[in-house]
Amino acid sequence: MGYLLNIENLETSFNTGDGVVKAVNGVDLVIEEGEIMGLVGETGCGKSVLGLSIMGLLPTNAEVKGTIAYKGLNLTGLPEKEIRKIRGKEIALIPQNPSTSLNPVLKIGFQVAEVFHLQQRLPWKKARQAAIEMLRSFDFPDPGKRAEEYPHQLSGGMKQRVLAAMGIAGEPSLLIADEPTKGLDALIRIQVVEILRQLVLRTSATMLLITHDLKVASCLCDKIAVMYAGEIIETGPTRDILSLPRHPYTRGLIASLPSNGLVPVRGLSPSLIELPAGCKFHPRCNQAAKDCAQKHPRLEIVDDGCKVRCLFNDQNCKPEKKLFHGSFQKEAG
Amino acid sequence: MRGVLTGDRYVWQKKRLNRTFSALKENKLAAVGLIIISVLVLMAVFAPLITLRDPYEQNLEIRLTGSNEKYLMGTDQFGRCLFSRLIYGIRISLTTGVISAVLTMGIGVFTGLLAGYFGGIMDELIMRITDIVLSFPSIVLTLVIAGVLGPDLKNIIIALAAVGWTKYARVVRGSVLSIKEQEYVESAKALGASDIYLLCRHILPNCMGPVIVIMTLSIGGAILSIAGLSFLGLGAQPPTPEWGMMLNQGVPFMRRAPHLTIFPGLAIMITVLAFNFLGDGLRDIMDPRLKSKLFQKF
Repeated sequence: MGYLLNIENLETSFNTGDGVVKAVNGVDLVIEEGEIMGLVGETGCGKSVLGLSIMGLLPTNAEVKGTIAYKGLNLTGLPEKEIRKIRGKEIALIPQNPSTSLNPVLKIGFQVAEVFHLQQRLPWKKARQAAIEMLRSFDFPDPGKRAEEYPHQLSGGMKQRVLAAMGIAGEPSLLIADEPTKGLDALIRIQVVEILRQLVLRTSATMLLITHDLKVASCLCDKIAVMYAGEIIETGPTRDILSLPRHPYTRGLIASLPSNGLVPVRGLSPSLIELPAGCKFHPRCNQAAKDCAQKHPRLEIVDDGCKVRCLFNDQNCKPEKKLFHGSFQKEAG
Repeated sequence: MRGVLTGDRYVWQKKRLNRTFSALKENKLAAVGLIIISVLVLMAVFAPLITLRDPYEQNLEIRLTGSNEKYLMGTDQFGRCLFSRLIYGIRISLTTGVISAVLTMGIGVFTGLLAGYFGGIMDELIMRITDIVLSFPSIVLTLVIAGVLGPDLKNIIIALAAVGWTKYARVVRGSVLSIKEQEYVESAKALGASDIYLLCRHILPNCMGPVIVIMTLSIGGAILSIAGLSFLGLGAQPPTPEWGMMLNQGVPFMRRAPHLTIFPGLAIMITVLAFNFLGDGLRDIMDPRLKSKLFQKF
């Protein structure tokens, strides 16, 4: 039982005026202790909803089915009071938008300190000192003065660092980083990747990195799971997925990277209210055959550690030319 | 490079603080209001030093005299020094006004937070009660409550709070509805904050801006209402030197001794005006749309 988190057949749907939005459809995901799992996919494929389902932070019109076993404890049916004990202390979330995820009227020092106060039961004075130390460890120049500043006085990268500091202040066993590089320019993106890498090295944390950026995932993650229309369509160790992608969608994603010539995947992602029958990707797939519109493929093991959800995974399994040219590859250590 | 930036930011922050002060300076009316209020507060605190006579001391031989060198504003129908009574009256008007405004705000903010944050039945219940309260003419409702409770300053404060909390509740509920959807609230939740903690530490400070403005504006209104109700005999009872009541007692002598109505009336007017000036000024300073206009010079 090296599993820290074991998600089985998770289905999350939202009841809206337009119908039932099926954001997550039968996801199985295992995260082992100490590993970094990257959840990759395009906008609207259910990545963030999956993250919020784990945290129990979905809006009231959401319905969650299946099991999310964290250290053997099922989180889906847990009452609010119990799940609050888990949030922050066991599982922490580094939220999506650094610019809107900090309270504008509170000083950043206070916002970091409150996590120490709430989670580690430190008295306010000690929590403040711990917060300043934490900011110092994230390379804040003059953290004592910086702690007295308000979020609007910080740059995007600094806010992201504050949020990362808040995330690990409770010393959680599992960190969920929800699109930490969203909306950041290239330089800050590298900074954030650097922050996350430091974080991983320092805390030896288990992390679920939710991102649409394959490059960020490639240089941080041990394993990658590719998501499409609420399903995991391919999963396996990072190197295998990137060098030998078996699912046409994964190949499309890699081909659409700027360094690979910006070849887009044709079409748009399907509406989550009316999902296509059969393989959910077949309307956009280059290799779609007749069967694809009827048969819904299962996530099948193709290699040691790799799983693919495609009817033709045997044919697609041929080694191709190396598609992925990572520009900031993971450095040793 | 980073060091330079830090320095710049620090200077900028200081400048911003100065700007808020100079905005108050720019806004002449608000500054006047603030000065008048400060003077009033000082006079209330040092009332025994300013006045030479006991406000309750009667001397029927010199009743209803006009202003002279001994009695700055003359005497009333019992020969009491009107000036002393007016100065001591500041204490009553300011304290009752501020207490009633704070009490009203407290009730309103509390109910507004509950309604906005928890929603559902709680929201429906509180908002329907505010609808009911708002559907009555506020003066009539205050009169009824004060009448039922009996004539006393304390009861007037209660009556004013019972009628006035609705406007805070509505404003706060609105702010809470938008603030609770903000990502920083969700991220605080994700870090394990409880409902009460979230409400007090994250949501409440974010909706205090409009509340402070409404409160400053309503202190003037509260002073006026208390004076008005006292004028009608529902508030302070004789011999308390309350302005509204003094005004009422002066009415029968308006022909013979007009100073008995003129001076208390002026006192009420100046005080209420000062609070309204300050409230208006604060609203301008705190409103981001008007802010740019004020800061165009910088």
